Amino acid sequence: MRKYTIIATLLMTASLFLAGCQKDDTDFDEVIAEYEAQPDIDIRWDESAFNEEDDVPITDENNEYYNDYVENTDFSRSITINYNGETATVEGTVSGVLVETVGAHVSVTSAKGHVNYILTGNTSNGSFKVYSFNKFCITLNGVSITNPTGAAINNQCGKSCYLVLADGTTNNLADGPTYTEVELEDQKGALFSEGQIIFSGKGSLNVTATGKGAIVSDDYLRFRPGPHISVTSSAGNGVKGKDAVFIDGGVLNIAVNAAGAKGINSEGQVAVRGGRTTVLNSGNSRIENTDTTTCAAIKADSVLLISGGVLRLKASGEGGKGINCDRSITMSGGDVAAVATGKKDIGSPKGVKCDDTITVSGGSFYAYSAKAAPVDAAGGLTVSAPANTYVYVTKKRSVTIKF
Amino acid sequence: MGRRKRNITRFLATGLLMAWLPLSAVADDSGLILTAGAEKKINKKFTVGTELEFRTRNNWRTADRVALSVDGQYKLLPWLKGGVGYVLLIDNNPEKINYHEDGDYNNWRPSYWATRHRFTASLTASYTYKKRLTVSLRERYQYTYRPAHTTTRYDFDNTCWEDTEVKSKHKSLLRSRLKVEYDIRHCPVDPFASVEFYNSLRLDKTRLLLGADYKIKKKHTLSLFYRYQIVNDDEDSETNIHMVGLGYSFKF
Repeated sequence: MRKYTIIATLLMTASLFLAGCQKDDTDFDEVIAEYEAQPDIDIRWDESAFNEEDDVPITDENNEYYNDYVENTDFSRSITINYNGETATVEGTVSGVLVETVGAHVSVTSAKGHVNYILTGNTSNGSFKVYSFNKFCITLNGVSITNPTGAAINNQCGKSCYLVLADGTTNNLADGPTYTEVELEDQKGALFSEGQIIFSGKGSLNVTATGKGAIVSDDYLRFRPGPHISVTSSAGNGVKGKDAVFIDGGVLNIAVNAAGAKGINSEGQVAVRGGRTTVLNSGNSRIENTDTTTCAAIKADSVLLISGGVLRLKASGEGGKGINCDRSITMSGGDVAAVATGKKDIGSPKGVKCDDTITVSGGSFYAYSAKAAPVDAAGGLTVSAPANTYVYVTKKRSVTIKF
Repeated sequence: MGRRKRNITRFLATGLLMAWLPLSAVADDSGLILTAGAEKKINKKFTVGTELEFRTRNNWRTADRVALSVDGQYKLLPWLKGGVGYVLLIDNNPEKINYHEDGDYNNWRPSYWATRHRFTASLTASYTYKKRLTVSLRERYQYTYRPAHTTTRYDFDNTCWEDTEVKSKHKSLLRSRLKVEYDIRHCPVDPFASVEFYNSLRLDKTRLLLGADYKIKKKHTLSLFYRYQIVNDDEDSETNIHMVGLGYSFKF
């Protein structure tokens, strides 16, 4: 009887002691920690020096890109334009080239090709516009041009524009918030060209856009090793090459803060094989009628090819993407970090969004999204290499592939 | 140990052992009900009472409810009683997890405490056979009002806590209970059993109950029971549950 009483008392005591002491909620601490994980890589505007090898110009005339090397064309004929406040002075003449100045707004009409226009000086109300039948070169030799009513440099020629940053110089180009449009002419950014622009030289260039895009070409853009280019845009895309953007080298810093804008944008391919490119896009989604456009550090309407270089891409606005590619992404080298830290609302922020396949066969790949899937690849993400040659880590917020 | 004490101990221990053993083997939830009540007979026909109740769930581990009730009963006929009552319910509402279509978490609202108000009106018809077996049928209309309540939830999409309002809600239902009690001759223990159906245009839940009252003294009664609740409609986040109840009542 005594034993029976003890058991009953113990059971009663245990029952009442245990009753109601615990919560029955699911333990989400680890899950929440996973969801709230911060990116492993801190992406910031990077002005530090970057060491890279000079590129060797292609000498094979049959090569598709032979023409992209300023060294392969004789630009010994030059005209120097010196900006000085509200005026500009012109030094040198070339037969068949007409240079007109209105205040510090300079316009060149060239019937003959292969002229090097050397720009120097400073103006807060000027511009440089080119009408030409042939390719030409612009050497920025310590020039600062601000055009309050349009593009600072406007190339209306569909041929190649070689933009050389003279060694050791710092150059500044800026547009204004409101453009005065010219009939039948485009001017889509502070530095605009109907033809391709090929950047070279070892100087630096700062482009500030407050009215439209910053560097825009209706053809393609090529960045060769050497230049140090900083782009800030509060109105449109940072860098847009309609047909393609090739980054072979150099330092490219881009900061964009405009609804729906892209840091680097192309309706064609984007190919990166060198240099150090940093893009910080803090813009939010843009809604026009029923269309929603989200921001991206890089947006390629065609393929994205990465074979080298350092890419640091950050989208911090609502729904922003680190990389947004309509076709496939192929990465065979380089060091890529694509980070999306914005919130999810109209758009879904992704480290990398790809409407086709992502194939990685070399380099270092890191994607992160604070609020959604780090990688969204419609065709899947494939590592094309022997299993023992890389490390592949997938977390809730990040994907890391390292060779 | 006196005879009465031994009887109380046997009464409690037997009930607990019987309830405890099968609970560990079932998939449904289990819990405890503790009650303490008092009853006062105003006159031959009118009785008032009050009761404090505490419930647990999650295999006895989690507090589920605290309730305070007051009621009055009036003997309309020798075999028919009418009654009204009010219950203040303080519920520990269980967590709620919402998912996206792809199975990913959408949001998580942890459990939270909130109050409800319940009003009841009942009619109880009873018949006693040979002063030993009593069969009763109780029909109870029950109206429960839940005021709007603001609590917090975790939004997995935006990785942040946010306020969320649990909207106010009211519900009416009819409870039908058939109960059988037996008064064992020369024994302080009176067993009882009941089945109760909750109807709100459909059968919401069913409760099966088996227990016994132990009259310690004339004014003091202990109750021990086992209750199994079968839920057909989980609108209120209720689940099938095995419960062991222990009650004490005092009659003035």
